Amino acid sequence: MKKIDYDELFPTIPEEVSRKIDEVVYEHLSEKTIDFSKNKKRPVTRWAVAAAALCLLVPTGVYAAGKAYHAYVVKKDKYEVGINISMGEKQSPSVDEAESGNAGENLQNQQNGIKKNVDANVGYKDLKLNYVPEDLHYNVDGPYGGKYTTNSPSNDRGMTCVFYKIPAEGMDSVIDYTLESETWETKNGNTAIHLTRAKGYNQLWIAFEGTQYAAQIYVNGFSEDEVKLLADGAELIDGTEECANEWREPEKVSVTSSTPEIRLDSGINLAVGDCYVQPLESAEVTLKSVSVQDNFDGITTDSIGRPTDYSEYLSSDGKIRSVRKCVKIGDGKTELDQVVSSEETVLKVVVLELEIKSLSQQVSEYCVSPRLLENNNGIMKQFARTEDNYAYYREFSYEMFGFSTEHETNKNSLVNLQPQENATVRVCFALDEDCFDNAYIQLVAGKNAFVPLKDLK
Amino acid sequence: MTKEVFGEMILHNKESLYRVARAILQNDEECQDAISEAITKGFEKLHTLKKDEYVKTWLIRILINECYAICRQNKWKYEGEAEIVAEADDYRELYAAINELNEKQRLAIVLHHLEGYSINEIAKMMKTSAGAVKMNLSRGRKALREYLEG
Repeated sequence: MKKIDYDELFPTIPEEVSRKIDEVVYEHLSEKTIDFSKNKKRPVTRWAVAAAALCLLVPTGVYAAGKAYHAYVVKKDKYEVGINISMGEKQSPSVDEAESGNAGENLQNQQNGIKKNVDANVGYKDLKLNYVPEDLHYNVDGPYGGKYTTNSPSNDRGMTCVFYKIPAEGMDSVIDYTLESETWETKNGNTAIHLTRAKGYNQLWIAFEGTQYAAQIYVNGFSEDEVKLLADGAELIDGTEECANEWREPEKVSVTSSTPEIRLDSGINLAVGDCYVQPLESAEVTLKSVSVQDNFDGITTDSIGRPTDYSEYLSSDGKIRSVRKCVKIGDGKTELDQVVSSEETVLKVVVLELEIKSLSQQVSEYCVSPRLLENNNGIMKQFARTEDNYAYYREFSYEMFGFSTEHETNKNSLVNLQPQENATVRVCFALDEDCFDNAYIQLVAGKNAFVPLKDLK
Repeated sequence: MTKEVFGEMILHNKESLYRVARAILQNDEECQDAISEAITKGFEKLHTLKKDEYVKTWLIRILINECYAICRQNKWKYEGEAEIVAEADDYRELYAAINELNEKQRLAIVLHHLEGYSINEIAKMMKTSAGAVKMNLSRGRKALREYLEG
């Protein structure tokens, strides 16, 4: 008898219905609107994880009655928020405000608001950042192209800015792993929202009041003051063409979709000297050598060929030691990632030398992307990922590093490969010394060609 | 219960509300109307809620009433357009199967198997007897199996 899967009986809630529910709830809770006239300081609203109450933040600045675009945060779950920018009714100034001595300021705001709304409909707009921390500079191209980094780029400090034009119907961006949200009005009268996150970059959203424009700025390693200055310094300027990206709802990853299973017995094991042909890519890869070393001697580049110094990972005895943590992966909504166990491990470096030959009749490009896989009862999985909800993390990544070649590259791709041309590439992986037995290098991502590492230890 | 906690509960249970509405109503637009109306009534009548732990059950009961109200308003419409509606929507096979059930069977299955309510709780929500709920569940499951195996 066929078992009925009741969870499959109904389609999931359509986005439109979900959004409508948010709106209705927000509408009923909006009586909690903060009365800025009673707060002489710049309005600041926060919610913290510990706060039990649902906190819906309100549009800033009170001016022209009528519809305009507003930005606010909707707390969707314990660690998930929605950034909502949509058209809504503006509030009229309350009696309190009129009597509070701010009436003149409010009138000015009303006029500014009307003017801004008119401006927003004329011509194109561009984003100008009048403040960027002194130690950050914009990279026009290269591996950090489009990002602001320090002179020594790292994940600890930097920012990336995306300028959006919100569609007429508004937008709702869902952001998980959010610990805290802060909303305030900038000096220019715009709404700024800063999200502090437990995973991924923190985000600063600036919604340009009364317009359909907004900036989403990924910031890491910024002080609170720097975030405030960044938001205050952001302004819209006239552009000669549309500089904003059209906001699109990020594609949802289906929970039922899964990566096709890779089985060890469906692939081939490669030894030194073996050649793997990729007809679709018009290329062949030859495994020229595989070796193991206890240190980083001769390895001075990262995964895309940038100069990197690995000496900090060497311990006093000359071995590569790293802390390996088993982490239970949260959903980012109701639970965060949680360290289940932690242990020190000694790493060895596997060095592969590959020869890539173009079989194309034209000038081509080839992305070098081997991966470290683990044989888990015949199923090949990305290394150290035990189950869907658990993963091992090390200070030193399991990903490819030490990418180097004499050939012209763009990140980890060989570019301008001439027909029949060869290029030699070296790549490395760091592997825990107790994990060699089940470890394989997948020579080409997605392809069933494996280099067993068992005999190398 | 505060409005904020009530609001948070609603946002946590959007999927449940949709499933219940979808068990009774034919299209998403009507589901949206019924849910919106139920939420509005919920906020208005929140002070009448006696025990906080029953808030979800209480809201679902309001929602069921709203769905039936829409059904009554649109009865004439469904009779003439049922086939068109069914063809227009892109239902999955299983959804097509459950669409074959009558609305009481559908609702009982949603509340019991998807939302985890007990027979007695469902009986209160549907304003019927526990025996009637059991019968609807039993007949609904049987009909689903026959449809899926057929």
